[in-house]
This record gives sequence, C-alpha cells and structure tokens, in this order.
Amino acid sequence: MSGCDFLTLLEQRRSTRVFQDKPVSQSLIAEVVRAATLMPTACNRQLWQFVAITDPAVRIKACRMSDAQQSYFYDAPVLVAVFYDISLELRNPCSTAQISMGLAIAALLMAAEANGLGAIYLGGIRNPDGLRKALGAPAHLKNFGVVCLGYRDDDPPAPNRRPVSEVLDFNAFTPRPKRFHADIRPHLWSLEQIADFRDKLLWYKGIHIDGKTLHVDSDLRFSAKFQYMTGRLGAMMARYSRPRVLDLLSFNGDVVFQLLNAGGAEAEVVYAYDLTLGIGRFIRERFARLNPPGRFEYLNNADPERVAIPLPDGHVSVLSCYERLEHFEDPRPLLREMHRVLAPGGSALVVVSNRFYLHMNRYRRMRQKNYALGRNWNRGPERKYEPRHLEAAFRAAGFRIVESAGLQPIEGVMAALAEKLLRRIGCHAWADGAADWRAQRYVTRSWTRYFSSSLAYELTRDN
Amino acid sequence: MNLLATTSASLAEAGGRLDLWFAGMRGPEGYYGPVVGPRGAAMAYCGPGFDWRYEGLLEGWMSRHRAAPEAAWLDRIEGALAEIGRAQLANGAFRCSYFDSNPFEGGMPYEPILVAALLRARAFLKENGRTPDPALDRLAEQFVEGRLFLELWNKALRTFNNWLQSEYDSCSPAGVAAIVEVLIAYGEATGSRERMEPYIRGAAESLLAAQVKGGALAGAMPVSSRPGAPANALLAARCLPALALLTRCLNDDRFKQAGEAVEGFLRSQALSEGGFAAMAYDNRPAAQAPVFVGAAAGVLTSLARSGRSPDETWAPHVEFILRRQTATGAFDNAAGFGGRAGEAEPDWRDVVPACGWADKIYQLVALLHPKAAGPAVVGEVRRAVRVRGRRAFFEESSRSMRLVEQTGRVWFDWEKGTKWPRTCLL
Repeated sequence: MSGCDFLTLLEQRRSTRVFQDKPVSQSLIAEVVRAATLMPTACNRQLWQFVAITDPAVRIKACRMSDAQQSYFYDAPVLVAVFYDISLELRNPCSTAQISMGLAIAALLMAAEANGLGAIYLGGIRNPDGLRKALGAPAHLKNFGVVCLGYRDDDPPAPNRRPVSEVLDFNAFTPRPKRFHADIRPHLWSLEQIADFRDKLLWYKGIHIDGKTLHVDSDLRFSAKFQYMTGRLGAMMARYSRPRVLDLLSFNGDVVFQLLNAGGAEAEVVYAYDLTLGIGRFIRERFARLNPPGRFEYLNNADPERVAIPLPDGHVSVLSCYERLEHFEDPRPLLREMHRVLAPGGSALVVVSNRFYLHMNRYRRMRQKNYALGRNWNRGPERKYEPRHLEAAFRAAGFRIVESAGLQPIEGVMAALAEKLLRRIGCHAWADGAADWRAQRYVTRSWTRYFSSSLAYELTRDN
Repeated sequence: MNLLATTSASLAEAGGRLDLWFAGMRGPEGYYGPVVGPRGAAMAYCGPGFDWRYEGLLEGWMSRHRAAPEAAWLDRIEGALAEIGRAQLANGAFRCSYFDSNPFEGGMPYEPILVAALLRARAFLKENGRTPDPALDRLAEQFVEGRLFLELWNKALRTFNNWLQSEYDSCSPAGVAAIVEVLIAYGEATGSRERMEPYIRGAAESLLAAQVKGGALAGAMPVSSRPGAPANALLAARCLPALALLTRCLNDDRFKQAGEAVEGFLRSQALSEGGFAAMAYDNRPAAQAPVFVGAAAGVLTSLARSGRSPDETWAPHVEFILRRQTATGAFDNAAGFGGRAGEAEPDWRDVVPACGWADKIYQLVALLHPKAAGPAVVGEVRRAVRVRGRRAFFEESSRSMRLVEQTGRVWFDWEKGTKWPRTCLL
C-alpha cells in the first residue's frame, strides 16, 4: 500500500451508526483484531484483550449491564469490547496504557474500513465496569469501551475537518484563541466559539441525516414545555394572514419542523436561523428526508463577530426563541436583532431558564465554584436569568411584555414530592390526586411563575 | 345485530346524532378538535389529527354500507383515505398523529392503527367494486418500509420500538399488535407475505413474551414489556385482533390461548357500573378513574374484531356509554377526572369531547345497529364543571367550544374548524 492509499483510506473512513442485518465471519473479525495487535504498546507489554460479542443474548446482557444509550450498540452485528491491564502503568505521566489502547482502537477502525466493514468506536458508555462484569473479565482489566463492527447500511456525509495549518506548528507553539471552553459561563465564550461548538455537537450527536436520532434520549414530543411552545406559536401564527415566522438558533430544526407540520401551509415562510452553514446543511438534509408541508428557508448568521439576522427590518410577524438566550452573557444584542426584524404589531415567544428555581445540583456546583462543562456537554455555555434582569432587557430592546407564564412551577415540584411520599406510605389514591394536581398546573400565571423552571414571555413590538 | 332490543332505538338515534356532531368537527383538512387523553391534554392545538380517530370512522362507515349499500359511504371512505394520504411525511410517518400529544408526528400506537384501518378500508373498497387510488399502495409501502422496517425495527429484540428514541430493551405490546395487523394486511394486499414473515414472527413472539403470566395482572398485555409495567384494558384489548390474526396466519394455538387470557384480564377490569378501570398495577390497587367512555367502546369493538359476538355481558358497558351522549350529539370524554366521579359538577376533562374517542363509540354503535336515525339538527350544551377547583361552564354549540369561569374568565375558546383556539389557559 502506498502512502496515497493509506491517506485515501483515512479520508474514506466514517463512523458507521447503521448496520446491515448480516453476520460477520469469525475469520474476518480475527483479521481486524490482528491489525490492533500490530500496534505499538508501552514497553511492548501488549496487555490488551479483546472480546468479540456476536451472540444476541450476550449483547443484550452487555447492553443492559453497561447502561449503553446508543442504538448502534444494540444493532451492530459485532461488538468488540476492548480491555487493557493498566495496573503496571498507573503512574505514567503520559497515560501510556490509555495511549496503547487508543492506538489499538484506531487500528481496529482502519482495518475494518480496509476490509469493507463499517465501524464506530463507542466510549460513551455509562458503566464500563458493568460491561466488564457482563463478559466475565477479571477486575484488573479496564474496559475502554467497544468498537461496533458490521456491514455498513448508511452513507454519512463527511464532517468538516480542521485544516492542518490550524493545528500544526513548527519548532514553537503559536498561541491561538481557545476553541471551546470547558466551562459553562457564557462570558468566556466568543460568538465564534459558541457557533463552532453547536455546529460540531449537532453533527457529532449521532442524529442521522434522515432525522433518526441514534441515541436513546428524552423524546422532545413528550416535553410539556415543547408542547406549550408549539401551541402558543400556533396561536400567534393564527393572528396574522400568511405570516412570516422566524425561529432563532434552530439547531436541529425541531421547532421549525413542528411549526411546519402543524401550520406550515398557512405561513408564507418559516425561517430557521442559526450560526453556521453546517447547521443549515444539517437542517436542510433532515427536512429533505421528511418533507414537511409549507415553505422553509435557512438563514445563516451574517457576521461571525456578532449576532446579525440576514433579514430586513420588520420582516417577520412571529418569532420564537426556545431556551437560546441562555447561551449569551449579555442577551441584549440578540434581543435588539429580534426587535429589528419583528414587524410592528408582531408577536414573539421567548422561553428562558429561570435562575430562581430549585436547580439543586446547580447550586451545589456554584457553591463549589465548579463550572465545568460536563453536565452541559450537549448544551454548551448556559446562563440562567433572573426575571427582573430579563424583563429589563426586553424593555430596553423595545419590546412590550404582553404576558408571562411559568413552566413547571415550584408547586409542581412540591406535588411531585408529596406524590412520592404518599406512594411510599401506600396512600395511592391521594398520590394519584397529587399527580393529577401537578399535571394540571404545568403552566402558571400566578406569582409562583417567578419560581418556575422556565419563564415564557409573549412580547410584542408596538412601533 | 340486535344486542338489546330495548336500546336499538337509542342506538339508532345515538348514531345519527353522533354523525351530525362529527360533521360539525370537520375542517378543511380533516377532523378537528382538542383532545384529553390518558397521557395528557392537547388543548392548545385543535387542528386535524391523523391518528386513530379515523379507525372508528372508517369501520363505522363500512358497517353502515354493509347494512345499506349506498355509494355515499364509499365516497366518504375514499375522501378520508385521501385526507390521510396528504398527511404522510416522506419518511412514512404522519404529521399530527400523536393524539393527546398532537400536533407531533410519529404517534404510537396511533399511526399503525391508522394504517391498519386504511388497509382494511382499501380492501373493502375493492370488494365493493371501487378501484382504490394507487397512491394508497405507495402510502402503505412508505409506512411499512420507511417507517416500520427502517426506523422502528429493533434488530436485537426482533420486534418494533415505540419511537425513534425509544428504550431499546423493551416494546409496547399494543403498538406491536397494531403493527402486526398492518404487516398481515399489507402482505395480503401486495402478495409480499414472504417479505413480511420474519418481522411478523419476531413481533408475534415479543407479544407472547410480554404477556403477564401470573399475579394480579394475569393474562394482561401490559403497557410495556418492562417487568412490573401496569396494564390498561383498552391497550390490552387492542392486542386481541392481532392475536386472532396470528392464530390464523401462523396456525399456532399459543396465540389463541394468549387471546383467551387477555379476555380473562378484561373481565377482571370491568366495573359494575360499566366501563373499565383506568389502570391496573401488579403491586397496588387499580386506579379506577378516569374511565374513558371511548375506551369502553374501544374494548368492545376490539373484542368484535377478534371474532367475538356481542352478548349480554356487553349490556352494562353499552348502557354506560349511551348514558353519556349530550345534546350536541357528542359523548362525554370520561368519568372521574380529578376524583370527581358522580359529582354534579364534573371535572372539565370529563366533558370536553374528542374525535379520537368518539370514533370508537361511532364504530360500536354502527356495529350494534348499522342504521342511523336521528334529528336533522342537534342542540347546544351548557354544563357546570370544575376547572382546577373553580366553578365554570362548558359550552358547546355547532360553532364553538368554550370553558368560561363563573367570574367570566375564559379558560378555553375554540371556534370549530380552526387549528388554534382563540384562548387557551389550560
């Protein structure tokens, strides 16, 4: 194989998430694993072990015990669980055991590609030790996840790659701005960093281009908040004849998709606006597979330095912003843009996380001054707003607040606690009553809205 | 079919009045209206739904046509099928198909129930000399190949997931049963039985595996195949037609026995005043309320579709249902929401009628007495109800539905035929 062939192999490789229902022979699996055994290890110790799972019963057991969340874990014909004995290299400053394992996994992926197989490395397993126990591996072997193998049944597009010039220096390190921050506080993040984070996350998250979400995740359709949002926006759209509708920072396009489904035919156009061309490509390709009714257009941010919606003044009648202001330390530039593009007499619905809600984990972390991105790995920077600051920002941008409501109010939390307690002591009829009471009070307009999980504001522009 | 000689006149009248109510719920795209369901309420979206509401309507029209073969019934069926076709998305799913989570797409088990009914209606049109629109074949193919096989088939469990992000280690028997009905009907309609076979067999085995073998829920098809899942009479009964089909198609008596066990469970869930308990649990007493009126009809029509003939055990349920028809021709939604069973002022969720429940009553009434008779116009309703503990009035006319508090505060105001209510504070 020439160097050129090797590079072509690297360029062709994709992470495969959908596999054909076709078995892989044991000899082929052995061939792929042989490639891994040819890789270098620290001190040539070769302390790796591989377990190929081909029996469906063992796979289901492994899936359950490892608490895996990805559909391809369940669907792939072969799972190669990778183990390494790290006990000899625990104190190595360069984590050589981990590096050895990484090299072996890379070889597995490349060998699969070279042998006409698809593969993906899966490190996002909640309980790798459970996987070890499921396979009966001894405790001194550490599990480093699995490689899913099989014949490919998808053709994912090539994700963007960072250019070499951006990552390679000669002889000395060139200082560059940080790509992302491992910190949720938005004041650290530039607009470009937020855009890049959202772009990469959308393509990473395993949302297939046809809209198939490949992770077991909460279903947005069962979110009462999302249902409220869709209903309110629909009612707003009904106020105008052939309205132009704009959804801000649409990400995977869920809000836009539901608006098109429910009322696309009545709208002149529904715009999705976000910060990168990559996000636009994702939404367009997703919608091409679903083909919802109505006219849709993607708008890309017009200026990498600042929020700039590429629409003329007063262009849209209805505007939605679903938990997106949280990405910004200062919401005013986005609010000013929203005000600019909204037609006089138009309506905007903004849903924002409320700071005065009992986010106990958050308070605990704040007390510990722990702002690590971990919990927000799929959201990025996030700021929860105090209602008065937010309302002042709305007014400063020129909006009038027509109505505010609280979603998932504090009394609902109390009712949930009461239900739990009543169930524990066997008072199920009372517990059912508490559950019913809570279900009816998901939206509140009383003063307790200021202690709700999220605040929903209906805004208008008077002139 | 004459179940109760004394009620045949009321059945005929009920059917006629319900027909008029459905006519009032029509909008430009289909059957409109809010929904109060077991999972929640879709009050903010009142537009057309492409969920299981069409099943009862299509079945009802077929019953009426069998009794009096008039072209108008076939025209209605053709019109409805065209409407459903316009709601399909490119991946095979249907928009606004989630019943009490409308307007979301991908409703389970509502989508397969819709497509199974569509395939039965297509066959009925053919039997009666009409040539079904070829677009229906494409619709069914898109649903089976695109939605069911490509997106919902679980290769590890060899059955069907509930939705895209579903738990991958469990399934929902009612959804799987509806899919079995679709696959058998599709295989017969297109001669592709062989292609369907492995999927049907996988799904069939998962149904048997999910059935509760002992304990308080013995015989039930629970709401989920997860251990300890509760069971609901309607969702269990909805498995009966699929089990009957599987007995015939696979020539396997295990499915017949499973069906008999489900019937035993249904008998244990019947309430003395008619209707069926809301939810049964393995480790605690059953939740009796709310008793959905349409669900009682759904249990009976599922029994009928699995080959059972109406008998005297149906009488309390039929009477329970007929007692709940209102002056507009609609039926009460439920009894016992908010712990207010038997109260003079019921909870508002008991009285707001929904197409997706009324269709089951329509199907039952047409089955028991296919000839409808009734007034040319229906009246209006104004009833005292409770909204979150406050006294209010539910008003329904041929033009609107409203919930107005005694103080004048409007909780809900919907003009029929529109998608979004003018006011919705619920």
